Amino acid sequence: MLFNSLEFFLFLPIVFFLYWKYNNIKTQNILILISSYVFYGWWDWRFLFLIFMSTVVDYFVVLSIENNSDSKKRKRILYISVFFNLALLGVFKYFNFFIDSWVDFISVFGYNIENTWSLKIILPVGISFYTFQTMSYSLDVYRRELKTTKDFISFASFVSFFPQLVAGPIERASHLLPQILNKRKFSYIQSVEGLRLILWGLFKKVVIADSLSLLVNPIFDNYLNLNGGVLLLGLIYFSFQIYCDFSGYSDIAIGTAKLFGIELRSNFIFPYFSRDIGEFWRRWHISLSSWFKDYLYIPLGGSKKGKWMSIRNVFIIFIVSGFWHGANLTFIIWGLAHSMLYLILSLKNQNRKVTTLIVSKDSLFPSLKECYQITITFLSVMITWVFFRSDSVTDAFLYLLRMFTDIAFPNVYRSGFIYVILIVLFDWWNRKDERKPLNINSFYFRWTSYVILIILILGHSGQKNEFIYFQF
Amino acid sequence: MNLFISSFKMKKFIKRGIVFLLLTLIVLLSLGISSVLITQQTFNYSICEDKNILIVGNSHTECGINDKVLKRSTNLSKSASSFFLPLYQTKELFK
Repeated sequence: MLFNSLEFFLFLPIVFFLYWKYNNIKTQNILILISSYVFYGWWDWRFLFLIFMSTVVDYFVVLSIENNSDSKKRKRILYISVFFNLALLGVFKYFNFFIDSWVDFISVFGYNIENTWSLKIILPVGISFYTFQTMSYSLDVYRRELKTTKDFISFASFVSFFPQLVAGPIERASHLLPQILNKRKFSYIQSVEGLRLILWGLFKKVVIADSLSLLVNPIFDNYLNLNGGVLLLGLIYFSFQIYCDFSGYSDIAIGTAKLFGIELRSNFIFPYFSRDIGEFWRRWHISLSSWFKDYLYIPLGGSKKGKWMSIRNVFIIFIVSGFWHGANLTFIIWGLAHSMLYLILSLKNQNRKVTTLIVSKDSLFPSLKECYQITITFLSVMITWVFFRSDSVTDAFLYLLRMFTDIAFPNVYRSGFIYVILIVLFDWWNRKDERKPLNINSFYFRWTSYVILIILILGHSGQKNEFIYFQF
Repeated sequence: MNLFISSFKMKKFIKRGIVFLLLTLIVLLSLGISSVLITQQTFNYSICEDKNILIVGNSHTECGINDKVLKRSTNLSKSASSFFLPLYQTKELFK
């Protein structure tokens, strides 16, 4: 079920009223579980067994970890969870990539073999998200940072909690599970904030991202016939399309969870206002970056085992992050490009130089220095997006080559700039708290903005595009 | 159920939600009605009698066919127009 579909807007009020009608934890958690499976099964019910299997394996693995005091045995049991979840990803997401790469590699040496091993399977939506979420539970219990739960329904609700099931934010068991295990109270303010976030997220997705996609797709499809100015526009548009698409989804997810008295972690904090690449990665897809930091970068030694180990770890974390996004070389190059940008700062020990959360907190406009830093960071990030969006690495390089060599004023596709200006202005105005959009003091002005946004959303809702991150 | 409905906060939430939905519905209806009225009064869909080729569609036909060259044609195409606009235009013309 898509957040931007009519089904969801019939489904949500039904679940909401049933949830608060039966105001006890057990019934509420059963309802969360059933509604989450309905939500996911709406897309393809056959893949529900994958979530169920992941839930069952991790539930029993974690119980055995806690019941064992021998550290070697605990580690061995943990491997079952990690291998099972990685195997799910390996089969459903990466199998064909490895087979195709192997066949291509062999053909370089003159062996042309017919590829008959590729599986005809579709990628289960959200598999990268819920497998990482369950793995974090096993890892936290293994590290003795979290106590296990024996309540299977609550655990299954944590794994499949529908607002964040298919595209995050990837929740940590230590944050979400206690909320599911404890009694929730209806809060008027929390619910209103939730509805505002849903409205704001829909605006970003339906009005901004989907409108920009109408310009981005033809530009990337015909990049060989367009001048450099148009290609630059295409890249700017894609940068904002992917931001509004994914952060819009996260806003709707956080807002929906708020309606059920549950707080999810922030996933985006105005990443395009970052003043360096280090700050960008603390503001973009935070739930994934922090997952990799806590469960991969730090266990590998982080930056505390010398310069070379630190460089190696940065490369690993960014390449794995790229590979997590998709089984294609383009994503790996994207990760590699970011690791280079990050290493430039990291080697000078400047990756944690900018730590203030709010840009230009006490002034209306950014300073000249901040403008310069923001622009440079945005341009660096923007150039790497070409690898993320292109179908192949060759296409990405040719796109960049044309963009930098065929410099000309963009003669077509200029209309999308209005959406870019709109989102930059809104984000700048709202930059003090990403979780409180449309928090306007005047009642009349606030309600008028709600109505205007609804009209804009309905006016742009002709095409029902999937969220980009569903493919990951 | 009683507890659910009698909760002051929930009552307030439902009440405000309904008021907001009604308000939005009224605004949407009035916008819809006024746009139909304005369209009917402002746009003139009549075509000169010497023209006997009608072109409707989106940017493809808008940019691809020049009705100044094809003297007997009228091009009403508009970029990014939805499927329904040409249908509506044609209906209006044949009234």
